Amino acid sequence: MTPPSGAFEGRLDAVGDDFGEANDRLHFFPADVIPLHVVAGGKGGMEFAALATVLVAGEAWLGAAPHRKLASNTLAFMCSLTHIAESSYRMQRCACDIQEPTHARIAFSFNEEGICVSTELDPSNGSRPNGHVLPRRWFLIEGRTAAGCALRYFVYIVMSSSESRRVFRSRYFQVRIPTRPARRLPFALLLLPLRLGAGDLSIEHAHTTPTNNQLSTLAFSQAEPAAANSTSRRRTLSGSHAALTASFRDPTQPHVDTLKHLPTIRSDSWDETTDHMSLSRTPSPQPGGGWASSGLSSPAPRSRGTSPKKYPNLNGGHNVTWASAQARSAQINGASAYSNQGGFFSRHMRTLSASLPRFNGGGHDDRFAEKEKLGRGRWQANGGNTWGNLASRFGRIFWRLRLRFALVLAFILCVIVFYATPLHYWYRRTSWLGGGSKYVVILAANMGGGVMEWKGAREWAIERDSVRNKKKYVANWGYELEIVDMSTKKRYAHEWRESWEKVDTIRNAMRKYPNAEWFWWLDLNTFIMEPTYSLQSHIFNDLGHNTYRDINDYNPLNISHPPHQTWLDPETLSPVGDGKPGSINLIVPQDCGGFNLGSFFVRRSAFTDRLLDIWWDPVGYEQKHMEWEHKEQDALEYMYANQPWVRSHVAFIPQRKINSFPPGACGDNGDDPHIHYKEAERDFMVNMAGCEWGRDCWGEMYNYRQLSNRLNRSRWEKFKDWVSDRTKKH
Amino acid sequence: MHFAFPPRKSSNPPPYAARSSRSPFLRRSKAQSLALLALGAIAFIWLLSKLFGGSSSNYIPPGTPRAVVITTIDPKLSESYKEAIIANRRHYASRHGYVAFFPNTTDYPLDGAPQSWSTIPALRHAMTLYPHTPYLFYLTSTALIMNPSISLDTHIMEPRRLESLMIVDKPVVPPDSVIKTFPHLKGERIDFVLSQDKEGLAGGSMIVRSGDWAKYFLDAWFDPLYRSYNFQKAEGHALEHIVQWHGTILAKLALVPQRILNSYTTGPADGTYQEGDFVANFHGCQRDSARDCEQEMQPLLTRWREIRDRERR
Repeated sequence: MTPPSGAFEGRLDAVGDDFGEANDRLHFFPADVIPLHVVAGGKGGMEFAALATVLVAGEAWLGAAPHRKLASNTLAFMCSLTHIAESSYRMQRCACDIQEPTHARIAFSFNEEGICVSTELDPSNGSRPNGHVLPRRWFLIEGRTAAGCALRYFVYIVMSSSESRRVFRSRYFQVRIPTRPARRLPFALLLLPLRLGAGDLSIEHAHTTPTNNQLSTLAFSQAEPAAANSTSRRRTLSGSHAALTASFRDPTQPHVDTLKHLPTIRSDSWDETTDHMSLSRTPSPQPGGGWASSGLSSPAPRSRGTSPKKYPNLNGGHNVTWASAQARSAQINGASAYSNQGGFFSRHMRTLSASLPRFNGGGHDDRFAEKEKLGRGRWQANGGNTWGNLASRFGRIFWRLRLRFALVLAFILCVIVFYATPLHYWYRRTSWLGGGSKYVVILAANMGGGVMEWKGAREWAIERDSVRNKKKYVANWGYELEIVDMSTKKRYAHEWRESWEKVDTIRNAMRKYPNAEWFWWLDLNTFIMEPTYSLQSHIFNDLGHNTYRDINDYNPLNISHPPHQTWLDPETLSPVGDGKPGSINLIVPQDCGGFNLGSFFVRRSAFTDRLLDIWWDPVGYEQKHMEWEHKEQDALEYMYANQPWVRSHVAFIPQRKINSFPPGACGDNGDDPHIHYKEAERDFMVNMAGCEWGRDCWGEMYNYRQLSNRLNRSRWEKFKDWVSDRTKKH
Repeated sequence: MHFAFPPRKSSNPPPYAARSSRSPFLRRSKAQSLALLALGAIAFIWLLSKLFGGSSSNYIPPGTPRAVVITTIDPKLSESYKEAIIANRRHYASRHGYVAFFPNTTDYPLDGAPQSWSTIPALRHAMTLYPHTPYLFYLTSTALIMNPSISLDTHIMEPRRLESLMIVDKPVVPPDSVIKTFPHLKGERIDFVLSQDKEGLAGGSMIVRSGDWAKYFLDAWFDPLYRSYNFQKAEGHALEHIVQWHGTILAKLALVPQRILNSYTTGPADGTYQEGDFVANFHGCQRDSARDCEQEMQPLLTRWREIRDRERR
């Protein structure tokens, strides 16, 4: 018996010296094309669609998909079982355990050193090959459980990419042996690429004599009746569960010499085998060696609901490699196994790596005949068109990341909806979200007007602008706006309390907005220059740093601080109170002359209650009303200076934070960096304090309004202005 | 088929290749249970801090007296008088675990105001000295504690007791002030207890609950503008003034019957001292040059010593 010569030539060529001197005797089992496939199916275990076994120095290489997600329970495309020799005894036990009908079996044989020297495949479900001749060194890996058995004992699996030769990941598997019949398993689908019509597949295997087990080989070749070697045995797989084997024949390759070293296979060894295989379920009926193939006798395919039509001559006339056979199989099933668009592979597209080996698309017989054609490159769907390639690449990336893309899209949509609807207003307003309703802006209209005072067009315009400015700001951030008509506050019969209404106004506002926390008093002649600043981000989120407690930082009134009375408690004597932002209840800016109450914050608290209560007192008023030109402002300064309890709850804020002055106020130059408005630094607020005393309130208001509008143009407006500027120039 | 050629291998490969990736330091299941445990621990600590943390902010160190008895003493008084008064307060304080505090009226700069104004910084001073003590009990130097067994808590300041004692809806300054004490006040929220005599608020004996309100009240009362205003009865009139003009003070004020806190030895019958009353106040004995406080006090002082000595036995 001589092995089919063609079957080995190709292998020798393919391998060459690649595996080194130590493996000479095996080097005709190259890594990449030995087409030994075990169809394994099972629920919850390892399912192998293909088990391409290559024995190289005791290693078996199994096909496993390079993508790690495939490794555990979907088809294995190229993985490797290493060191089967070491774990072989376990496999033997494994084989004994399994009584279910198998569809393919691999037999490994090992030499004295435990090196695997022989492997055979029995695609049928019956016989045990040569058990008699190598009684202790033949091990069966039976059917769909074979790989599972091996893996069950933590066989080391290396998944590698056929293209990059990179080890993607290594891990141990623990695999359960499937207990159900293979036909009931959903992974029967995995057999798809292997499914060939009954009778189209045959396996030819050359087998060595037992005495020459230093080099045992098994080669498979797809049967071609005309070319079948007379010494080889031909088996035909029946049923789709059967394993596919493909062989390699390339008579044109020039390594006939090596083949000559191959031992001859004696046919009588097969006879012995057959005789002694009393335990085998389906002993080989054929004398002269070989395996029984009860599977062959199955009258009909056992699974696959697809039509049992035959595909005659699918492989005819061509040398067939595993790849070609698989491509063929894909063709039969209507699509390539790895690029079809429906069913299993599209559902698992995410888990199939894009770098899987792809095959020359099915349908053209001449395209897959030559395995080793150099320079062919990889098949590309669009014939290498760069743009199409790029597009498809991006398409693939998009498809792979579609969930993330969808999330991003949904997020953008949410943002748009949030700002396009009043949702953002309510969000900013809600006390436990944006907290806008915790802030009340109190705007004093008709300041100093009084019912009897004449009010001209300019005064009306000032009031209109100021009110509109505050309304817009408040609407943007969800604050409350309380416009107080000071002229109606003349209910104090005693005239001497005129224009002390601030206190009562704040109190009324506190009563009106019981859930608000901070109240911002604004004089009429103020303008919010930067409506995009929220009070929270501008001041209150970091109150401790935006304010200062120790008046010595800036002390135009020269108040001695901390108080000098030694009997006071430490907190009162401390220059910063208790130092915590939580104890700040009054935030006052200081201008060049002391406190400025044109714009200040007061917080709802017991302290504020007391302060507002004690602020105006007839005894103090009686003594000081001639002196206190600025009324409650002076009174506050007086209280701060003389009543120590006030100090530990008052904080000062740099004036330009909430109360920038125009150049006309506080000094003639208007360039005090602590006081005067700076356009470049985008000050928040301008208070045209004292403009009614000899300055042009309306003019200032107008200018600042224009400036604010210009500074806060939208990009589109800026663009339009830029365009109009350009056109004007030319 | 495009299987990779395996790399060159040695003839004697190790039985198992080394694992290329180490097993994760924490298994997922273990990490999950750890995270749960940590979450539970944090929640527990948070709960504990919520339950017991509140007390730490207003932590009262052990041994803090419940009250400070404050008497401002004019250094010009005779030594025997001072001694008698001090012994009287000390005895009372020691009996109840209070402390007594005797600043001089000259200890505080008053900017030319009458010495009696020193009452207010004295109270503030006591609050500084005993920051956690809840009650400041001011007793003028013309008064004697005649019933040392009475505790401020049970006798006056206990909220239910206080509610039963307080005189509501009564003109603050008799007989016809338009400002009346609030009708619905809770005992817990009262910070200032005193009584009225026939002329007005009787500031000779009063209890102030220490705290932020007390600081406000005392500082406002001590305002230089009041001191310089020349009230006829100095701080007494200033007190009546702020009580009537400022609701935040009136809302903390409770008037109690005079004999609860400040029985006068002279005057109308409903406020006159009787045996067993808490305090006997020789009201006006200092201001009236025709009277001699020490002499007036002698009988009651003797009586008080008897009471004290009887208790000692």
